[in-house]
Amino acid sequence: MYIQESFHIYGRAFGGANGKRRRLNGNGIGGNNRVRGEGGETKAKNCFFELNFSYLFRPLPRMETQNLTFCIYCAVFNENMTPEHIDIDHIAMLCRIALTDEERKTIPGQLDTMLAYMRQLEEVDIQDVEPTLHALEISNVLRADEPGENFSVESALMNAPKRENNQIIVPRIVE
Amino acid sequence: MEELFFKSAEDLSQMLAKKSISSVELTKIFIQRIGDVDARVQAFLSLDEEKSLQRAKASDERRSNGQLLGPLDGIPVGMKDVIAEKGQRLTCGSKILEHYISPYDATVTERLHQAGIIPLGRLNMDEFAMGSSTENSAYQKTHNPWNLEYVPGGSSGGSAAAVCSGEVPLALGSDTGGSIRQPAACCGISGLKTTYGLVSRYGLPALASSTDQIGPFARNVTDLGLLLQIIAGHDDRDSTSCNVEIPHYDRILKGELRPRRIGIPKEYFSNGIDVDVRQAVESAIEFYRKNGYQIVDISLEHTAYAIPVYYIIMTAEASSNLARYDGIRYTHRSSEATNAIDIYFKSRKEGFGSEVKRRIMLGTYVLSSDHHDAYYVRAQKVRTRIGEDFKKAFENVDVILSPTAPTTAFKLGEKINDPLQMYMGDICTVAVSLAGLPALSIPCGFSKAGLPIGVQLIGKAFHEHELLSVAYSFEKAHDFIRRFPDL
Repeated sequence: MYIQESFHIYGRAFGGANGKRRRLNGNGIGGNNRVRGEGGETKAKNCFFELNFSYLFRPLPRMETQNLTFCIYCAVFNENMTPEHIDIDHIAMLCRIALTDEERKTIPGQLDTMLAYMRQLEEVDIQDVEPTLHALEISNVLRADEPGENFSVESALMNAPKRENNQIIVPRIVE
Repeated sequence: MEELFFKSAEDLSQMLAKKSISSVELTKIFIQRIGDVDARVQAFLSLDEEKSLQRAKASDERRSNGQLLGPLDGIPVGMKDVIAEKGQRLTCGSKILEHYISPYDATVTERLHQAGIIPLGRLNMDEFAMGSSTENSAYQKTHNPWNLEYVPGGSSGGSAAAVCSGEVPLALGSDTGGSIRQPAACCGISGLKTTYGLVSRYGLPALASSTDQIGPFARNVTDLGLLLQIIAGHDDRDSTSCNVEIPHYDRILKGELRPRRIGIPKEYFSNGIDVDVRQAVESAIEFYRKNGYQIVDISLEHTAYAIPVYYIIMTAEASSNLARYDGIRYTHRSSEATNAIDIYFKSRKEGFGSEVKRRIMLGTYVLSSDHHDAYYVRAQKVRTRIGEDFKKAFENVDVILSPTAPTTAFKLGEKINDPLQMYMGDICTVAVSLAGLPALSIPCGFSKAGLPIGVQLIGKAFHEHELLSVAYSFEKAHDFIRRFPDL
């Protein structure tokens, strides 16, 4: 289809199962090296390049194209080959969001693209690395359990969408 | 002569001191300016003229009674619409909070009041600070004052555009992955993201709790220091607020004692950087070299991974934080909903814009039990690596210098349909946020198309004073802060 100059390509072993970490030369912003993957075997059939390795297309910060689904594992040439398809209805249910018809059409592809991009983290050696929860070392902050100044009922309820007798009204939950 | 509304807060403060102008007159001038240009810039969501003028009058009275509250007493400031101000709207740029009125003041707002500063109005932003162009606001699109066809950056685009166009001399914003620095660069003004824990976040609705910070926008570095002095400091009401000694930023700023070693991370200068940006930033490096700074080449090895790490962690935290907007207690409630569960689904459907939904869904996915380790935990571990890179670099340098953004401002609409592409523009700012370090952006040039370019200085944790002093030596030798958009 169309590979733009603004796409920079680097290879990586498909699936990353061999755990081999490969340093990319100059892997800074939009690192511009074309590196062949090692040790991986392709599972991407119908790959445009018919290469033995899967390739990740990483766009540069300054990319002229829009709406171009770049893809990992050569799937840019075959929409159905993105490695992981989000089950959009399941996720929407988990986070209690109903989607518009338009969003239902556009969001799944965008999320697949982002997840594919995020999978480049697989190439970082994280053996024996502790996860960072907070940027700075902050331990639990405790205070004495003493009552202090508080909101009035009025100010606590002033933004309630529906209220009556100092209570928030919701539809009946228990029959 | 320089228009009054383009003067720095420091200059205005001196005029107030000399009584060549009153705070009421000054406030009226800015309100007038907003009336003149904001129809084009669209930085303000709302303006509280009456309250502002009352506060200005009170400031003038304090001045005549000799009871001034500090150097910025009587100076107006703009507030990003994500910082609570009692009795004012707090929309976070979202429809879901369209009718929400803050029942209390954020700690920073209290501190502004205690210093006599006058919050003029509420400034536009990307919905829940998600975006780099302010186009995701549910209310209006803010325009870049240098060229109205371009975005002002984001998510604090309203704050940056308002200072840039002379609508306010100072503004507050918030920065989670670059939301102060990038719009400051796009609009050619100064903006500072503070160290995680330096400024209280009480009254700042959470986006990504492990990186959110409040910080100042200003016309120059001195003003940044003046406003920082007021908002920085420990607060019991924010458990991530650090109890550290706050330096006298303004005194240190102009002193001679300043750090001498500047690190240049090679990863921030690779091919993705726009030619004009590269040239401007390189000439800033040249300036420092000629002025006796030691320029040290360094490597921040994991830079390329900062964006995926950031967008995993940020969306994960946001999906959790934004669960509170449920349609039950204080947000928009859908009138279509017939039962309680329906309220969640439909209120959130109607209240959130697409970018917010996208990020909540991505965050929900990376936190879901099947994918938690593969994405979220992995990202947290790579985050450790990113932090270690900085730690190692700061063994040999005092300050790190890079572009603030890989390009100048882009055109309105250019990236709105391509979220990943929008995220890529955050490449120079997100790693700093993940590491919790302070960083500022100051103007260092203009592109051939006449758009401003920013240079970013990154410091050690709680070393804002060093950043300000290094930035000041550049600023005073150049005239970028004395160029103004023609509106």
